Amino acid sequence: MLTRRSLMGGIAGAGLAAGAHAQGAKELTILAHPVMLSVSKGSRAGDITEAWRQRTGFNVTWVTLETNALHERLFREASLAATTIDIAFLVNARAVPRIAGLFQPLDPWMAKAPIEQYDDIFPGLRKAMVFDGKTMGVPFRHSTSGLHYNAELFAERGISGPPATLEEFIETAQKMTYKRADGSQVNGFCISGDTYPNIVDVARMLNGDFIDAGMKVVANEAPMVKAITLLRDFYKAGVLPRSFTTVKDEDVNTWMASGRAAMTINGLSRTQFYNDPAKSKFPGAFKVAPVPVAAALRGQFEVAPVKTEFWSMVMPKNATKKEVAWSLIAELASKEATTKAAINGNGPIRASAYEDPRIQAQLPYAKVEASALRYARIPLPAFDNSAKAADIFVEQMQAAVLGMKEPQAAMDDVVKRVQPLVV
Amino acid sequence: MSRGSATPWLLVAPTQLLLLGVIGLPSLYVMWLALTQSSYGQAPVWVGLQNYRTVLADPYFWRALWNTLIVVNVVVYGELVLAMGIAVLFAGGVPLRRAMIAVVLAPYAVSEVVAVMVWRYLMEPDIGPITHALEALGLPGLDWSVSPVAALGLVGIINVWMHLPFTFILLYTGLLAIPAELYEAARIDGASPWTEFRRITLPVLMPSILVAVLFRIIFAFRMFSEVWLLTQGGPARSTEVVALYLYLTGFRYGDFGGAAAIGVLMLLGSLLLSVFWLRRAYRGMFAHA
Repeated sequence: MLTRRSLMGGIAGAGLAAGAHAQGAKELTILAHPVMLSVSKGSRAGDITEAWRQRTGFNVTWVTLETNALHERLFREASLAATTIDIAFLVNARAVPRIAGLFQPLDPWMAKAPIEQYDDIFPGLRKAMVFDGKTMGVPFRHSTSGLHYNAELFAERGISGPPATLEEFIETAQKMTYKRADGSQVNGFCISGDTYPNIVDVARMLNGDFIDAGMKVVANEAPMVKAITLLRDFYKAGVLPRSFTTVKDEDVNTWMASGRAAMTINGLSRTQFYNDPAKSKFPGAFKVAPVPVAAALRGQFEVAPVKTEFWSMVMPKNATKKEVAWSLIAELASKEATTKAAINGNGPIRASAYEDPRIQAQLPYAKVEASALRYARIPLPAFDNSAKAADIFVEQMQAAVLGMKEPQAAMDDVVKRVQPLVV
Repeated sequence: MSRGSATPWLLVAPTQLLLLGVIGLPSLYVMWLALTQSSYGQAPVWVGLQNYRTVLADPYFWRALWNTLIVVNVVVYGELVLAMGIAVLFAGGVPLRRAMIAVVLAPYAVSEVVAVMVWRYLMEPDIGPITHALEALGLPGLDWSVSPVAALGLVGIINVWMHLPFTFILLYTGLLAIPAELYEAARIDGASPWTEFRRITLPVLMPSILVAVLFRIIFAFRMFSEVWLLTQGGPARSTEVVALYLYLTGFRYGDFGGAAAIGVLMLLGSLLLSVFWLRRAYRGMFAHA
């Protein structure tokens, strides 16, 4: 018969056994955005952790979350006495001085077991992860924007190629807003309306910014105001989806792949998703081009200075398997892993990757990406209150696009409220 | 066992200690945290009532509170009326009663996230099946991605849909417990159905109504997932509710002290909102003491 004593004993024994198993398990946990998982285990170049797993006998557990949820979980985990997260990915805009103390400085590990040709990694990315002279993260991925368009839909409207200037882009977006023969509606342009980076991309066609590199809030200057006005006009004319303010980045993929939108500005590697026969109604029809710049700026830029964002690998200070974690970080940042991840759709963080014949042969957007990278810059400099500043910008942008406020008044409000947050 | 014996105290002590450990101490910690400035990887610094001052001076807090109060009142009382109607209908007898009860209870078995995502898809302004059906009938769609009123309306509909089973089951079981003789006696005395409802059903059902309303006010005041998954507080922060405001303050902006202060204010808010019902419940309990 089951007695209270035997029940309590059983529970205690099971707890001890589970604890012992957890202690002894050869398991490493990575907290990442879903895209990191897909480029690390892609079908084209295979699993980039496989050789490391075989060598060390460790398994890798991927915990994936969307950008905001990922950082919130990471910062909470890293604030505890101990965490089960061994490696995490951190986007540049969230790598701010206030949270640097939560992560392990990597210089001692770097000295002990160096990363292969670390200097080959783009210097801007490496330097952005140095706080108080200490390296807090190793870059893994950049995402640089390009113009994606559905060539099949373009052909239906008699358009033979991508727009070369902002003015042509506006004309094309308007023309591409139409009803197809089967009655389905096509929106000429679609971007996420609940985050700031895509809006910055539109402003970059006019060389505009939200906050410039000198930490000045410039959202109420002409380029950004013109960009917001353009989006408002697009919204009124039905060029942008009716649900623009609730469209998320993942939704944009669906809009494009299902042919409900003709153009978007997004990370260049997304073209692989749009052209995937398993996920797209128009496999092979999606092409990429550099984001066009306003005709008046053609003398200054060949293509728009689009946004480039990058993700780095960090080790929480309270992680327990740092030596093993470092060996995986070094593996993932190696030349071969960088190239293989790029073939799987990653934005390579090494200059040498673009010279690799495998990448040139397999990535249709490598040339476009290389041209965009000549001018690209981050969408927002990192500072402690960047998340709050971004939310204020999104709030005012939405108010302007929906017609609740004039674009100039909305952006004046952004400057007034965000400048005190920037230090 | 003598009256002065310590034995009764020792017997209830484990429960009291458990309550103190899982509710009392964390509550005290939150109250203390509300008096500090604290963030990720930063030791709390005493700031007194500054967090309360900051929150109470923020117009977004008041907008979130206003949205919450409107939604809570509409949802709780609307749901009560609806649940009461369904419960009366069921108690009066419906065909396939067991199957119908299962249908009414089904939303409680669905995960909140799944429920909101399905509703979001059904009501999508461009391709949602319900939007298309309304269009086909010549009716206007619910433009929740643009209009804050429509968005909060949809939040309310989803919330009622998800929690109706809770209120329904409380009222329905209460109705079944009313002795049939009371209704028979009333009918002999010539009472109309409305008088029966007013003089028998409602007074006897009042304890169940009190429990339903109190719990639903507390649940609804914490409403988060419907708004987060549907609009994330947009457009332009116009549909933010207090729980969302707390989440953003604490976890996106890393202001734990401010978030703790909002938590304390939420507790006071739901207490104020339910004080009428609490007083009524208290009087009911001790009316014959």
